[in-house]
Amino acid sequence: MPAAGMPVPGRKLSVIEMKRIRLGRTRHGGLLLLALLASGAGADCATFEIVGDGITLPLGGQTGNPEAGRRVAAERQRGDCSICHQLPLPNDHFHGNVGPDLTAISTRLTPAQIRLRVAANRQMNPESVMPDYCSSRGRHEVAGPYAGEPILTDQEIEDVVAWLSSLDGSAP
Amino acid sequence: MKCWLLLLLLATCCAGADQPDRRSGYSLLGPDLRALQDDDFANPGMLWVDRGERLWNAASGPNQQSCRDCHGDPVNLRDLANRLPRFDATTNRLDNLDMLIRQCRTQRQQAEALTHESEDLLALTTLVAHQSRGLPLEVVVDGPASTAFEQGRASFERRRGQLDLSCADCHEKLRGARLRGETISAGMVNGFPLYRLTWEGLGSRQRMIRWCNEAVRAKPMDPESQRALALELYLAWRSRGLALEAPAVRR
Ligand code: HEC
Ligand code: HEC
Repeated sequence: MPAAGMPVPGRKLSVIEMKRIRLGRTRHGGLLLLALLASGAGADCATFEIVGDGITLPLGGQTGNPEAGRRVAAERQRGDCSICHQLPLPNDHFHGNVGPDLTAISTRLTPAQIRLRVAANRQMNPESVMPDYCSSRGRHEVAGPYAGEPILTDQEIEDVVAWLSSLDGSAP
Repeated sequence: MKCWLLLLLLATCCAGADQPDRRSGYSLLGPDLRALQDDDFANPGMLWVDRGERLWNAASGPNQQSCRDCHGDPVNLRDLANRLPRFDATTNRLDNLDMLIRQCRTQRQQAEALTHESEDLLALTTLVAHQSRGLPLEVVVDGPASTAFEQGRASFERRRGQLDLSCADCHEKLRGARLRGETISAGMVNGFPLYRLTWEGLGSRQRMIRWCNEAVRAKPMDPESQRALALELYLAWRSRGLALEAPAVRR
């Protein structure tokens, strides 16, 4: 195990490490830069910065496509969001009620707030059952094909964020 | 007087808090599925009991012995399935019903091994578990079993898989909520082996564990590993006091 807050070469930083570095280790000016240079291997999605209760900048600088986001959210092997949430997916008959109804989510949350909840919800609420879609860190006993992979890619998360940001309750 | 009432209220509320809702999955079934489970002529799981009876009586191995030659009527094992898994102090490991039957088959009957989840093994485990129908689940978790029991508890509570969810996340925190069309139960094991409509077949407790692990994209557990058996022991302890229903019917 690496020491807490020490970036490991060959993978990207977790948000917690980023925060630690920002909050506690900024004195070691070179550390953050070093870590970013060392990254590249590993399949975690982009590093991001939490500002307030959102992530302002699109992950990996990707542009989201709402139509693609709808497909990602619906697909069982990708987002599968309707297993827990009500969403405007008329061909999907059974929606879960584990999480809040998202059919008008843009009237309650900004895109930045939505991005944080999809990418790294447990950074705000570690007890939450909603998984972090943008991390593969700290997971146990992951089945072979998924090991080391975040659930969704940067692009897919941006697509989902774009779709959710368009939901105002008017879609069927 | 008021004081007594208060005490009584406290007692009932705390008994509730101490015993988390341990209701059988049967309580979530609609009237149709309840009727299917309750009627032995309609219950699809009874087909495995019938097949189990034929195997129970079939001579096999070099000495052409049947289960009946050693055990007599299956009802002689009535007080067994409700107490499994159990810790065997001589071998220093946990055994469940599948393993006991598999061992008996190869060591005493000296017949060809029965593979996990094979229809023959399911038939025999269902026949034997069916004998305990109505008896309360009651497993020993102290003494030499206590280490395994604690392992099982930890495993139940540990988040796993790509979706990073624990058994407890779903069967304690989310019990009663709907995961898509499926209402999440308390995860009791008093019905097994049971017939699930989604499987279109019968399955053991270990098959259920595998199914739930798959749902969160976690590595499968070897069904004879002590880890898997420790989890099964913990599940049986969570289900303590519930009447055994094998073969139950679930969605
Ligand atoms: C295992 C259940 C589960 C899954 C799967 C799930 N969520 Fe959630 N989600 C929740 C819960 C529960 C909450 C409530 C907040 C919390 O627990 O942190 C939530 C909250 C949210 C919120 C904030 C809603 C609000 O009103 O504040 C958004 C946005 C969201 N989820 C989007 C998604 C998307 C998009 C997906 C799929 C990519 C998804 N969720 C998958 C359980 C889930
Ligand atoms: C993502 C949610 C989820 C997780 C995590 C989960 N399960 Fe389940 N489990 C279900 C659903 C859905 C069912 C089917 C409905 C029901 O019976 O609760 C089920 C059924 C069961 C049952 C059958 C209950 C009955 O009455 O027949 C058992 C036992 C069980 N799970 C044990 C476990 C164990 C052990 C784990 C951890 C390895 C686990 N579950 C993890 C969702 C989950």
